[in-house]
Amino acid sequence: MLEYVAKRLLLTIPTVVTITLVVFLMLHAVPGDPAIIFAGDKNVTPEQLAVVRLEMGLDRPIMVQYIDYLSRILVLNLGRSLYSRIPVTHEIGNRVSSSAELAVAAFALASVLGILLGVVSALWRSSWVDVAAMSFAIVGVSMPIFWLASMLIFVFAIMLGWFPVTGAGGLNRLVLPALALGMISSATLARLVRSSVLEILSQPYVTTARSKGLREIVILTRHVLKNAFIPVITVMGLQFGTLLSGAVITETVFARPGLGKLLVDAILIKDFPVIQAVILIVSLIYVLMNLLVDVSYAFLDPRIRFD
Amino acid sequence: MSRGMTRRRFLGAAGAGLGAAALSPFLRTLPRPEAVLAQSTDTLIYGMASPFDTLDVTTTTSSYVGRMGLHIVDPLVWSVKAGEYAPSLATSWTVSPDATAYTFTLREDVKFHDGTPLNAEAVKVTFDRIVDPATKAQTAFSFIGPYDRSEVLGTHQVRVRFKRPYAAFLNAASTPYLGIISPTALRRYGQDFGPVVFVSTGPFSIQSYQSGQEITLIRNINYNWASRVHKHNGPPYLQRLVFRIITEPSTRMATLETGETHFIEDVPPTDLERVKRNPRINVIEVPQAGSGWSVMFNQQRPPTNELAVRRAFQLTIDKEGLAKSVWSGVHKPACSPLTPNLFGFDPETCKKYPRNVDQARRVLDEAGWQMGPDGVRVKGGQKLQVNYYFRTENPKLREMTAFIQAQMKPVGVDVQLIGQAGPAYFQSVRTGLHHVQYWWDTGTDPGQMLRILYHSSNAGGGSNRNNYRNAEMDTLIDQIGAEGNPQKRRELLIKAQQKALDEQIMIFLTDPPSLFAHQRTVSDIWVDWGGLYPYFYDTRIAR
Repeated sequence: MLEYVAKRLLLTIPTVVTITLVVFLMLHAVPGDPAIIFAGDKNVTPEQLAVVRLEMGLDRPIMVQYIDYLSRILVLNLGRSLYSRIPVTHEIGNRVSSSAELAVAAFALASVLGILLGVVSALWRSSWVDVAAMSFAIVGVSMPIFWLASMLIFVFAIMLGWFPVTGAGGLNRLVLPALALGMISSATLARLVRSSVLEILSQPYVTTARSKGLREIVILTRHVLKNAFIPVITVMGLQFGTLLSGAVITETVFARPGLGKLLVDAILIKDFPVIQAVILIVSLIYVLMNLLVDVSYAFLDPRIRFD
Repeated sequence: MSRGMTRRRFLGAAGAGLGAAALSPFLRTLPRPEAVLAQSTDTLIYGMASPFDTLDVTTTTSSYVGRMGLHIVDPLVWSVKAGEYAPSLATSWTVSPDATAYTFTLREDVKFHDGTPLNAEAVKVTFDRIVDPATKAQTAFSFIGPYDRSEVLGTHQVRVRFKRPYAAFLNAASTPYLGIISPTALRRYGQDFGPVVFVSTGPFSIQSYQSGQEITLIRNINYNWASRVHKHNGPPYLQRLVFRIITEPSTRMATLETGETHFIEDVPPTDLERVKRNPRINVIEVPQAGSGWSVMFNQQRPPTNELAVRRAFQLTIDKEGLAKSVWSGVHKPACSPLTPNLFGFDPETCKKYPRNVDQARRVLDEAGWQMGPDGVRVKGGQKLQVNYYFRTENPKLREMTAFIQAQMKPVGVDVQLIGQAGPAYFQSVRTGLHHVQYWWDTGTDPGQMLRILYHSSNAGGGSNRNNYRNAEMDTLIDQIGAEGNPQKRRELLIKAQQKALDEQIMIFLTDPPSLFAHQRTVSDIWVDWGGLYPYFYDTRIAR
């Protein structure tokens, strides 16, 4: 197992290097002169552009620039935002913890709710439980998140006064955003879990287990769920990345700082150092999630370790 | 190891991974001026509508920084009402007859938040920095006008010289954007001055700042140089003033209703009636100074280069209906490039070209635009089609455009809606792809407003997206900028407004009010006559 984990870990190195290369090349790939992008929208003289090029090292060979970029990443020097002139590491640092907090809470909620509903509706297939759970899932999948978020604010903050509307920090400020974000992903997950569990339930080894006289609960936990979870975990891994970086609407409605909002705002104003840094970090998180997903496969299905 | 990791250990490892991602190798404590600590009293939480670029009022592009920054700086003078000023950092001032030199005598007891005493040199440093191209100052740069240099006449006397007559400088000096900054702090913090620290002389100083989220100001306990415009002198009554950025209007409204904020800006017009009925909330509604929502016609591109086409819009659009249906009746129909509360506003502009749809049809007929079979007018094989560019970020713009499209259709004008997001939009209108686009601006100097809209130096990619170039108008605007005599200035302003209307360079749709709302427990909020700056120096919160 350890050997497998080490192997997977080593394999992430080329991925990470590729990511840094792509992020680095982004600036050179977009149409237009990078120096002009950095100089902003104002009219600049050729002399000013030359200064910008010199400052950014754009006059040097591209490989040298890349190595320079890598060495700056290693010491966490990601430059300054073109818009606010704040160091990018500081801009991101301000938001990473609040994004992570929201993503973890929403992920936990989505997982518990999604798995529970999925399993229950698969076990009691075609009963009223199934109909109710899957109706919830359909409503959840189709519900626009901004609407759900506004409704949660209206009911739980304005009418009942249980939770504050905005902000980050503190569990009570996390509840509503996590509910909004988590409920919608739980719906997707519930549908997936249901179909996956149903498929496993029809497998011959489940029949065998039953005929051996194993208790239902043991069959469910040891044989059904473990096997049904391989596709589910893949989706969960991807969803965590989305929850972390794609919570723009939730962050906007609840006025929470976050990576997703930072990225979208930066794209709207072409704030390149910020765009590059956020994409780099989000990609690294995806790499990490993929690694965890791969490791969990091996845990769930020993055959995978020996491939 | 047969089973490898147990489930618990697997989850533990996953948790540690997440923790590591959340952990903050990025968090870095930034240097900030010594926090002024005092006995804790009240904190006012302000729901701010927009994130902003920098803490430095002298370099920002954002009017939201101006609102916040007014608490951190002191202007040289306070504007009591249009054209009338009261002492602030400057105890007295004289203006040369040709309005090219302003001599200010400064208070001698003022200290910056870092303890540096305020003197004439600080004024010079501040102003010189604004015009230095390396500073990339924006709003302040336009306010400082034709600045030439500052002369330090004594420790507390400074003369500000301009290259051309600049009659509106006192107005500029009354805005937060020309607030005086600490030269010591500027040297000490270098690149971080503005992005993360800002040191000035105002009643509040910065305690903490999380960009895009929240900024906390703390009262300046040494503050003892309030202008007589305000109700008291000494430190502010509030202990802290927290500006929390809440961009979503309905969320901002909700925070006021739940009591999470004490005060919010930019109340959504659609919520106004409901808020007014709330017994715990008070609404402040002040007509906004500047130039209201208007339509700019690209004068370089056919068919909007034709006076007849532009006039047809003026005669057709029901401004009253637009104010009612799109802005819930909160806005007032507009007449002139200047809002009615600005100095020199010409009330005659409201009567000059009143709505008359039949006349609009006649004007187009006479100009040779014949009604085509599909209900769109044609001239020389060309359809009367105009491309209406607007930003999609603000849903109100789409509503206004759809309203105008529906009104122009029966007259035979085909209005194409072209909604674009920020960068694409600016690219389009700066290169002049549009026939029509919106404008809205705030400001208290009428001359500056006209310069932004009509001066040829702002055409071709700048703020004059009418791309209007007219030597006579340029001269008028320059004269207005130089004229110190109020009576003569008024005459020139009226002439310019009449000219703008006669040539139908733009259409003025609605004049918005500034809408603020606050908990009734909050008292003594000062708002300037232009509705631009709510100010909390005298403010108290009742328990």
